[in-house]
Amino acid sequence: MGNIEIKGISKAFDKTEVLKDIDLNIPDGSFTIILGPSGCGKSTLLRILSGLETSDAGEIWISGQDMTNVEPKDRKVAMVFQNYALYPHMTAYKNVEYSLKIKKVPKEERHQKVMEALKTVELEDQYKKLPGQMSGGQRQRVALARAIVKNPEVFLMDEPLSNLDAKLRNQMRHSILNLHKQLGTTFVYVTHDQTEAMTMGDHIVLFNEGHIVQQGSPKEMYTNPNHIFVAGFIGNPPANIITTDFGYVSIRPEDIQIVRDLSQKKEKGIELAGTVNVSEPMGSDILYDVKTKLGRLHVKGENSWENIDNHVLLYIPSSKILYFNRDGERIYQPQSEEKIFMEG
Amino acid sequence: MTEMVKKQTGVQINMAMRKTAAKRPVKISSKIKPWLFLLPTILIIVFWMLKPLIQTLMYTLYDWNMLPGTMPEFTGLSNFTELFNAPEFGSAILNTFYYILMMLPFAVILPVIIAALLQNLKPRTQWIYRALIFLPMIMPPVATATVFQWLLHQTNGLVNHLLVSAGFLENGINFFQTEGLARLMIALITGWKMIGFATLMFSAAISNVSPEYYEAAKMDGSGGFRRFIDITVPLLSPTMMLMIMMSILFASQWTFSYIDVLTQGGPYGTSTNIYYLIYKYAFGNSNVGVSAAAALVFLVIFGIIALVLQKISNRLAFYDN
Repeated sequence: MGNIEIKGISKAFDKTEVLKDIDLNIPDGSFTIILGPSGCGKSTLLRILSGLETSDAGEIWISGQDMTNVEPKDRKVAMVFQNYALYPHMTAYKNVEYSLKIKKVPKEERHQKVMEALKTVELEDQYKKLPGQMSGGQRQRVALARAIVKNPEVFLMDEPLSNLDAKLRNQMRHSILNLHKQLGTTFVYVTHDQTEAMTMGDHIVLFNEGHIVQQGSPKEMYTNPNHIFVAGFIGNPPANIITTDFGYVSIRPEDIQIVRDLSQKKEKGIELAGTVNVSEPMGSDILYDVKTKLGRLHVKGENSWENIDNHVLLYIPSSKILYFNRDGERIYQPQSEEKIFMEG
Repeated sequence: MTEMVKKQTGVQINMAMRKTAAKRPVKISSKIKPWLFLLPTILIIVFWMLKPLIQTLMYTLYDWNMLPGTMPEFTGLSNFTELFNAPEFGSAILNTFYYILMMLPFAVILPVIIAALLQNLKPRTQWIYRALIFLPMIMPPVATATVFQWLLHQTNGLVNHLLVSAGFLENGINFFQTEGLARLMIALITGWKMIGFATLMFSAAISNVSPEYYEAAKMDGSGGFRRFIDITVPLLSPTMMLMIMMSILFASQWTFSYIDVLTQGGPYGTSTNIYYLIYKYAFGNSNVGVSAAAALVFLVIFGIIALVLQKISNRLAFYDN
């Protein structure tokens, strides 16, 4: 029903290519995250999906219909903007009602739908307020209600949480996830925040410099990056990246163990001696910056408290070491050359 | 020990005395200080506003022709009876409102539409157009009036020449000596001068409206005209209020030069307004008393207008983005 097919979409502003021949399928009912650093073209893609921006080449199909040259209002999509974009002179109620009014929905039906949408976002008692009288979180919920009331097949969200403080962002993350569960429609969610992407999405599409680097489930993106960019972008803190003669090696901080006794370790792996340089206690665990012969490594220690300048022994299971060539592409079968670098 | 205590207390008392002595002038000056800062403003208000205002109120009760050597003569309320019985008085009051109302299309309605249409042009075209439409604003009113006098001249004017040669008219129209037409021309010329300034104000206001509102409205299915009515117009209401206030002021002030140069209030006082009447009574008829009475009427009328506007603008919400 609400699936999206993006076929060969390209877009350039002046001479800067923002999107380069993008092909992407967004399955119906999925919560798809379009993730990437700023300037990677993710917002442009969302705007092309909404119809607010035209593409230079390619086609957009929504629910099996060619929507490439269709007006935004006829695309069966609703958009939630980064800065809410609530009409400042209209109350919450009128903001939500506006699209129905234009569609000439009868007044009683309109009222019922508006109140229902406001109830979904738990704002039914705030309907008389102007956006200026509401908090950031409430405004964003009104913006959600304005999208819900249109009963769209696809929700497009452009960094909807980036203007909220950290605590509110957590709450809204849950609200949006609940909404997705409740409605079961397709959500396309643009963000540059990998934490949001990992916690919310069931499908992540990672963009860089106008093209898709990798897509897959959060777990896949985390455990099985196909490019050094993915390894460096996904995960908090990001993976350790070591530059070598043949390319790159990536090791996640949480895959490095601080050990006292190597005999406990059954798995094949390498050991490294190092000195603690910086330690950042985060409550549940501690993030260490350890000096080793491979350079400075970030290490996540779970229950060992090491002091600065302590000598520690690090252990890295071989299966957790990922190799990439000079172009940044993953080497799935590391040859002796790479293995020797690490293990020999 | 005791001596030391004595010495110390002596010193302390001495210091305390010095302190109070030093404090006293500070205290006095801190009372006077704000008034010192306010003095220039107070003097200006007293001498250039309050005194003339009181004098004007006083002159309404006197008869005086301002000639050297003559003294004002107390005549009671006869100046008001003379003013209210003057043939031009009625039309001066009506025309004051006529000019105000005629300013609205040029100060609000047309500029909003032009500014909204300009928004869709390329930036360079926008700036050229804005510069052109602003030109009348910087032209001196008397020069403008003279140019229009030429253009609209009955026998030698370009407008009449074109109308006659195109076959619309047999003989040229005497624009400034035809009842009804004279004040219309004055209103149009004032409007012509106003429109560029107002367009600039509204252009600036529109460019402050976040484009996201229009995008949201597009997503909501709102068409170009609907977006203009539902989003642009309400968000411009503070600027509209400002322009209405300014146009009320300018409708009286700016028309003055055109009335004086083009019609002198004629024909038969049909193009005069209260502002011109004040001037004419004082410096044309040398009748300060009636002029002062007219000024008082002017004050009352504009006081009422100001009150009404304040009520309206209090009701209008001013939204910040």
